Amino acid sequence: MIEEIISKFTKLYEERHTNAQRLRDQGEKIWGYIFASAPVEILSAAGVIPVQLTSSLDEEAKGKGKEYNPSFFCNPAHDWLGQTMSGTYDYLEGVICPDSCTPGRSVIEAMIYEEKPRFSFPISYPCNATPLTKEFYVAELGELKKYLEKITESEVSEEKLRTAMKDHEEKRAMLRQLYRLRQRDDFPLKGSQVAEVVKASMVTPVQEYNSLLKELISMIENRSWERRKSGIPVMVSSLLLEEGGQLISLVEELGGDVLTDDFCMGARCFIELESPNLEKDPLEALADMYLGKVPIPYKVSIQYRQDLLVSQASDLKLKGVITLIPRYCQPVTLQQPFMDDRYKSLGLRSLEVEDGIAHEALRTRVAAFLESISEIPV
Amino acid sequence: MDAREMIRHQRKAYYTELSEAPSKGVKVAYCCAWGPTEPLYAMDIIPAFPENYAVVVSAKRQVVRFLEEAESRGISKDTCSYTRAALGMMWSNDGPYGPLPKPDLVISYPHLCDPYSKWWEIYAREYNVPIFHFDGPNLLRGTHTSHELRWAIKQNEEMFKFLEEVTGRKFDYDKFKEVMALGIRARELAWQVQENRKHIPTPSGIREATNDVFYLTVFLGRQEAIDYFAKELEESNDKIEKGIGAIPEERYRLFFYNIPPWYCLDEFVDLFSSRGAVFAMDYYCPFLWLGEYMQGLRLDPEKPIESLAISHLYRSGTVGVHFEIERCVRAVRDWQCDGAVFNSCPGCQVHSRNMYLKTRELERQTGAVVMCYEASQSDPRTFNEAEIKRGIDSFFEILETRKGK
Repeated sequence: MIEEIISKFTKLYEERHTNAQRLRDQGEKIWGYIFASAPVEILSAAGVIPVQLTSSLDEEAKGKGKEYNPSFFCNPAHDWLGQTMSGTYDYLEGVICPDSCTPGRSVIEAMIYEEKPRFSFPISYPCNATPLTKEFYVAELGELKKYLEKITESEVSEEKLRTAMKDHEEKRAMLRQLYRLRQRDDFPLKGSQVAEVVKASMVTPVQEYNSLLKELISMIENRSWERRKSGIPVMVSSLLLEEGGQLISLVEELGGDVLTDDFCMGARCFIELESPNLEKDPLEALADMYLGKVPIPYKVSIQYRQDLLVSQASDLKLKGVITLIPRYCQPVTLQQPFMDDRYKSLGLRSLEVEDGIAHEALRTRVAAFLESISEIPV
Repeated sequence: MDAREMIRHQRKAYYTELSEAPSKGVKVAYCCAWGPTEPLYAMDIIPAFPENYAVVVSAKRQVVRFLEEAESRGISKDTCSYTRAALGMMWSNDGPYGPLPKPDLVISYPHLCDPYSKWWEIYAREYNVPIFHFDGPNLLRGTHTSHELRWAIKQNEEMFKFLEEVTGRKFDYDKFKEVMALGIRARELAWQVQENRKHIPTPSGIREATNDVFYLTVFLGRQEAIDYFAKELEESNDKIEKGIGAIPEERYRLFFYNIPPWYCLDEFVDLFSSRGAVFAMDYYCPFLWLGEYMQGLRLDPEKPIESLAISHLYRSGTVGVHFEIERCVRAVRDWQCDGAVFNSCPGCQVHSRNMYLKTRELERQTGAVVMCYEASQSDPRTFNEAEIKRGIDSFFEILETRKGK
């Protein structure tokens, strides 16, 4: 039964482009977004369906992206750009992108230049949460609202914003709840199944997704489950859930148990965000919610990342952390030695592998790592 | 003293002043190449530039051991070579003129490029000193809006408060205005030097232009920068009057985009000058430190905080690709270049982003011949000489053919 629900999430993700095209054919407007800090609520309030640009893991798409950027840009940047320019995202009317890193910037800049999709709105997203950055960000969100109002020729009212904020918060709150439930000994899902649930959240209309997730959480909470077969408890951290999902499956196959994860296009979209204050001006409430709370390496300090991951690791009594380093992601490569030092100081073992590593080499390294930590007492 | 002698003399003097700062009770601020120097000089703080020090150590061909030091500590080879070289010097406690003194404070511009988001934080962690993050907008939607300018202005004011906290002294706005006026005057002169490069033959090429980097990084707000650029302009005017070019026989005029290879700059430039080609325009100073001038804007000494903000907003790392392409087209057209050489610079994503969109558009809009090569600015191990020479041969074949038509 629970497998049936999981397969629905999997299907939503796998058929994301067909589903989006169908919605478009039915007269809906679909907008893309990049990065966990994208204020999707404003898109929903403007009557458009937000979908996150996802990875195709396709070499041909990456090759198309390399017609814009040199090879030393990360895979997602090549992939998103390549897919957009080769027509995969032709159903998008527009795209928004909070400024989160240079490769991400390069993607939205090229989209703007090529007018593909037709509308693009880059957002300056501050690194820090201060009264000054908040004042700026509220104005920046106001610019996005005005831009969407002009395109859709309809007002994005406070009421519409609050409704959208409630819907998206319901989704995030349930995902946080799902991650908390993972601490239970009888949590019935494997890490790879949780990844399927999260992946669908990126590409499914929010209300449709919420009703399915509600069903899943209710099933987990209201029944007793057999104690899960224990494996070696680890965390997996990376940029994309698509690539990370494959790694999670490999870890499980080799005897690991992925109790939590940390992905830029995954848990970082909800894990640290607090519920918006709906009594406040909506844009102000959104600024409060997003600023400084999306734990992407470019935008938050090394200390913040260390504290967050270590706290997750301690809560779950993990034995190790496996980090899939996104090659050419300099905020990650620069912070990594300091993350390792912190892990070591807590007796937590860490394995780093670069993305793009051959599958067999990855398999060997993960297997060796799991074996090396298997005897360590928690 | 001519401009070349001035730079030798003043570079040494600056590093001596910097090394003696702690013993004289002068506070040292680590900052990136964008300073900002003027508020620091107004508060009698001496800025130190690990990034510029990476240029120096590269030019002195001593950089590899520092790169290796950083790599041995887990910093990936894919990381910016300035960052690796500078962190390597810190961890080795060494440098071309000895180690940089320990900082008392750090100024960071985390939004300007990806390594910046962590690099300056690492100094603050290693030395346990306060850090100010200058958060700012990137102008990806066009010219600045009122709220973007307001944010940049307010960020400067926040930084002034930070300097007050670190020094325990009130920020001296009158002195800052005077220092900014000096900085703006130096920029004006530096821009006139760039404008002079439009003359045929061009009086100065990329070697002279790259010397300017030191002054635009270190001395904006001090008399040294004005003296240097005034001298350089005087020499440039004199050459124009006498019809003397940067190279003996100017056959081709080129535009260089991105950061040149500091560890073999002379040899690299000779590969072009030996065929009668001169870099009449380049990217580093005009697009970065003088970006507002490239955009057709001017700074106003009567509005010092706003001027500092404008200067910050129009650097090439901050503006969108539309502006970048417009600037490249302008560089080729106004400086009458026959071709352009683009370095897709590994590790420097901010200046290499959308590189091939830029080259395509430049070719389409101007008809200029464009070549690309790939080499990191401060990592000589990435400079594939044979391959680059082959690319240059092909480039000149096309230039020659077009010239002949």
